[in-house]
Amino acid sequence: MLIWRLIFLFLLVGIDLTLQGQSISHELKFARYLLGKSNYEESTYVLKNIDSLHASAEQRDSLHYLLGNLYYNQKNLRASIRNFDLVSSFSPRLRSEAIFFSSFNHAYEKHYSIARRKLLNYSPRDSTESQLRNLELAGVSLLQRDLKTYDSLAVFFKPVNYAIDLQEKKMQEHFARISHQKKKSPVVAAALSTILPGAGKFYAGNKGQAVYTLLISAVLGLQTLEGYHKDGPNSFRFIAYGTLFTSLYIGTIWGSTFTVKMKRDQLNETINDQILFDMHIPLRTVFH
Amino acid sequence: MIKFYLTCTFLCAPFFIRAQETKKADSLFFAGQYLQANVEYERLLFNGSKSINVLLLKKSYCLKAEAKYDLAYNTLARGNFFVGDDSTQFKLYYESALNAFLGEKYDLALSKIQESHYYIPAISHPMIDLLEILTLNHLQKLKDAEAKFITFKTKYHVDDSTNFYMAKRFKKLKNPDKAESISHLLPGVGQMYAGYAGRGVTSLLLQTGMIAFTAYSFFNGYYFSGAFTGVGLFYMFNNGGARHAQYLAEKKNKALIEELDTLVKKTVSTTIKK
Repeated sequence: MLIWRLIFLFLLVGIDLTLQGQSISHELKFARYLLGKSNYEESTYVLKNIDSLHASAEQRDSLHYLLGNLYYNQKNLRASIRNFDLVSSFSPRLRSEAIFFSSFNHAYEKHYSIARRKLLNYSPRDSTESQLRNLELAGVSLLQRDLKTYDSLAVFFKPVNYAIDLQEKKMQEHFARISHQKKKSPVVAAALSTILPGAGKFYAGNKGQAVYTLLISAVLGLQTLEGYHKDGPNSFRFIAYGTLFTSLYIGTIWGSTFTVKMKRDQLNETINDQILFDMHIPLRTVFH
Repeated sequence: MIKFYLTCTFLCAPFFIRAQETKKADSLFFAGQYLQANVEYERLLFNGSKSINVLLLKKSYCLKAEAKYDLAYNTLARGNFFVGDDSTQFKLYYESALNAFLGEKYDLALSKIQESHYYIPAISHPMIDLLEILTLNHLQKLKDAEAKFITFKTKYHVDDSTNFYMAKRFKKLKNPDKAESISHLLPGVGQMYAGYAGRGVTSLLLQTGMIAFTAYSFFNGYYFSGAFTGVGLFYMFNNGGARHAQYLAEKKNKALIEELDTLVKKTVSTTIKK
């Protein structure tokens, strides 16, 4: 009698666990369906309500993978990384994608060394992943402006995979752009603006602002001169226009030094955005 | 106020549709848990429910209650406007138009209302007619709105002979481009045309001051000061004043439309309550 009772209990637990598993699978499918419809808020709600304690290892991986994707689409990169990192090796396909995207998210967040480490610790499953890892590592090296490491990785760029070839060429272009970037000096910019107001900004590459500054300086300078010639150095007109002109003149010299830095940062930002874009495209192509 | 009014109206109607399958989602909706209700309606769609249009309508109510009008409109766009009974089709059109209106996409709202008239002429409801009048007001098509308003009163036997559209201030709205152009040629007059006489006088005085400064500078031999400070500042004030006149004309029109909306709603509210 006791044996029958035990068998009955065992069967009951088994059926309960199977039903729970099926229910979780159904919820995961539903969340994926919502994600596909770009209903991110609803999908997140469904995933967060899944009882992960009763989920199998594969189901938990799917759960974290989907959450990682959801947060990634909502530009919440930290939460995305946290979830991608929870995908275990029980699900090799999901894990590889999660690692690549987690690393990319770190690169986007400017955590270059972590992005690199994650890629280096990962063993690619096939030649495509191997080539993709190489490209991502090359991208991270360029973002860090570590041109030596980039060179050592670019040796392995081979035109054998349509999904990655174009981006390898693009990386070479970014490398060339970084290598040929002219280093402009803030001191030279300041000196040029001292000689001719706005010239330093022109040198820094901000041509429109340079012309505008020169024009305003000339307008104020001429009025100061007029005040001096007609009313003398103690007149209100000369002092007012003179003060304005001097302020602008000094401000232009000071501003020119910042313009050099600002233009350099702007250019670097543009290049970095393009590198990140070219790191992102093959991830989408290979995994989706 | 109008948004609140229109949001509340019709909100409950489809919930009277007897459907056991939506019981859980409906109770969530009535409890004010709109996200959860929204998920449950979508779950029914995912599970292959055949009442697609009704579920999409209910989903749109959840989104509308959360003031996500664009999402509500897009949700309704997933529906099939040519299947099901006339009443459900009408609700799809009406809700689409209403959400477009609440999302300030008046062209879309009008297009949905016109589609409704064209495809289901058998059904007419004062709410969609009111929505059409309000939409035409916001599109500043006041002649069309007036015609619809008169038709509304005849159709639904409204005991009020007043026609607000005949009032002088509603007869012709301000033209923002005209206000801008006038202000360029006659400083301050654009603001006066827009109905802001005080601001017009201030703008006129400022710009006259700049002209006087220029003339004074030239007569006394201060050519650079006259040319750069006087003319330069006059140019800046003139441009700024013209842009301001344009903004004021738009502001005035908005206020007039809102006033007109309120008057129309007051007149037709008794009919709608009935």
